[in-house]
Amino acid sequence: MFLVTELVTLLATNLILTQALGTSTLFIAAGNRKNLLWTAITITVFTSVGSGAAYTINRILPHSAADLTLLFYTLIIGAIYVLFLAVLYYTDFASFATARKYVHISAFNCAVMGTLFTITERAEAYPELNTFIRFVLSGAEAGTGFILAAFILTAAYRKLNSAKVPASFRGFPAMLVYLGLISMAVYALR
Amino acid sequence: MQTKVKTERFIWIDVMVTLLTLWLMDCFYYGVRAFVLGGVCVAASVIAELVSLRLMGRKFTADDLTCVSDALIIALMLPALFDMKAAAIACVFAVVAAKNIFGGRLNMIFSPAAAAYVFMYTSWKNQLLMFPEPHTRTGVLDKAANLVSSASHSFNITGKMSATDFELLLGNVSGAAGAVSILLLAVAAVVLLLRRSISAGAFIGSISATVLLALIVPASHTRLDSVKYTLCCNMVLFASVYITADRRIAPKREYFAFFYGFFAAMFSYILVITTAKENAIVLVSLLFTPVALGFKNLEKRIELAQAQEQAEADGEEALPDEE
Amino acid sequence: MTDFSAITFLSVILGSFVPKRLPYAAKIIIRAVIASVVYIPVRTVAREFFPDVITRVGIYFPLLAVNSLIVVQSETKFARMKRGTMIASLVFYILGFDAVMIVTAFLRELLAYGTINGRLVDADTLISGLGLPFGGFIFLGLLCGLYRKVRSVIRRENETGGDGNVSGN
Repeated sequence: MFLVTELVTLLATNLILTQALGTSTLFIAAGNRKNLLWTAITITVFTSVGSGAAYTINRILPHSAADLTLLFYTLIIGAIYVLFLAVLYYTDFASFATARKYVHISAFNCAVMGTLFTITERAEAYPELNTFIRFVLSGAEAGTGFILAAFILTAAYRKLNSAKVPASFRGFPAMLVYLGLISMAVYALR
Repeated sequence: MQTKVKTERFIWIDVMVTLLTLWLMDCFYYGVRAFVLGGVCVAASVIAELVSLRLMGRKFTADDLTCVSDALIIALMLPALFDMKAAAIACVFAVVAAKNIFGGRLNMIFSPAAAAYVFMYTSWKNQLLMFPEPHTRTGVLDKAANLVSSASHSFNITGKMSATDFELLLGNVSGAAGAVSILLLAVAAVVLLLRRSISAGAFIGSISATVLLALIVPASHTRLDSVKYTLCCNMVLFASVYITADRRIAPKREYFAFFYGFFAAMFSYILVITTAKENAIVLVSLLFTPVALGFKNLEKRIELAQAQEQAEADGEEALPDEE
Repeated sequence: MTDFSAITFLSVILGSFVPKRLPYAAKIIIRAVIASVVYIPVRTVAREFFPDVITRVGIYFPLLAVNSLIVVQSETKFARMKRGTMIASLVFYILGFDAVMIVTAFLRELLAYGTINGRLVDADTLISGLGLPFGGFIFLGLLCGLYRKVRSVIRRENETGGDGNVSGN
């Protein structure tokens, strides 16, 4: 029962299904199944680490300089981006060329940035969520939501790109409508 | 191929016969309004199917009449006084957005009826979940008045049922007329199971999960009441027959279909007892589409592996002959 | 829409001065930083003229700075063009995005809320779901498919109408 309620929470807080954030990244990665999963995992790392760093920025940045938030978040993501590539380069040089494309797709997109802003907004509304641990956990949750959305899309990938789908709707439009119908069910369950 | 086409048509006829019976019951309780509502749904679906098939450059054949059964399923899930224009929009949505965009009946992904129901749930929830009392006769164009919440709603909130067992069996309670006639639904389920027109695995999985959870975590004071009312309320039986066990959506292999139905029903039962979500099974059926697709992908892989094994075995057998 | 156009146009133009020989990651980071800097004055101006819109758009407003034209297309497409071609292409891209936004927003507002630019119109059956994010997905998917269909019909007509030959020989 706990698992089911957790799954519902994960679906209900899923940024792609509820706020349409990161959809284009999901579609870019949807080019092949392996890409999709690895991108989703990389995004989870970005959202988790990025959220922790966003908490620190929120603490340091005065309220009067709120307009600079985006700039600082961009710098954070940029730093994580470089760090991620460096770690990948020095630990697994052989697969660096293949793996770096996931990092490129995952760094700057609405899924990651949207997560940082959503968590910050939620923390402003509910002060009990304004802790470092909560930020990191919420980031991880958003990333896991992205993985879930990736699985949902992967399951239908073959059918959505089948020759039986009318040419005008094959691929991107069919994926949009498919995700729309799933998000509709998620919305109805909230 | 010929057999497959015949089978598809026979399935449709079987489903239609049971749906027409339920529609008749609907008309008995709510009069001409229910009849016209069903007619509007069917007309909207057929027109949408004709237009979209034309745009897709395909011909309308007898097999495309499945849109009629989908329309009747939608109509039977509605209150008799539901706005006809909204019902027609939902039917068009089911045909166009939930079916034909993905290639129509040749490449089904979602249950059109479930998609239409969830669409109405998100856009006209208040209207969808308020019902007239049984035997309320209204004119075709009359507006809704004196509506009450469904028997399922009261059960979800209080865990009690005010109607007698006899009333429940006959569907003489407030709710979507087609979905509350339990006796007819039970007969329909048996007929469709015997005729193999619905997925036995998905149906049995759905019912067994509901019964099992109703026994383990009762929603009522006694376990017997819990099982009885859980099966009769929230469209559990109706959705198990016409949505979860829809052969076009459920996995082909019965044991995969069983788990698909089992998990969907389990998920919806937990939602009902934790959030009192009315008719959760229909919403969950739509959400579980990727699960059904996942199982179907798995089936494809198994078939491929078996074909490969068979080909290898045939090759080995043929080898000594060649020698 | 104006903010999207301003942020995208300025960021891509300024980003085109980033040296091409830098590594891909460095170029993307610099472009994102430029967009974040451009965002500051655009937000200030928007707050001055459309204060309600900023509140209503909420977290989606800063996300304009990481839109795909700035972060993906700028490097994969615009960076390979000459500056003049790039500006012309960028303007048409932005106009295309704006057109889609106007059409989608107009239809969704009309069907979901029964208003046009906030003014009530006579519509008795509203589809409130279309105003929600999932409605956007479905609606955009449908419009995209319809657009592709219209485009393919026009292209086919042009091909067959070019030499008057419709036989395909």
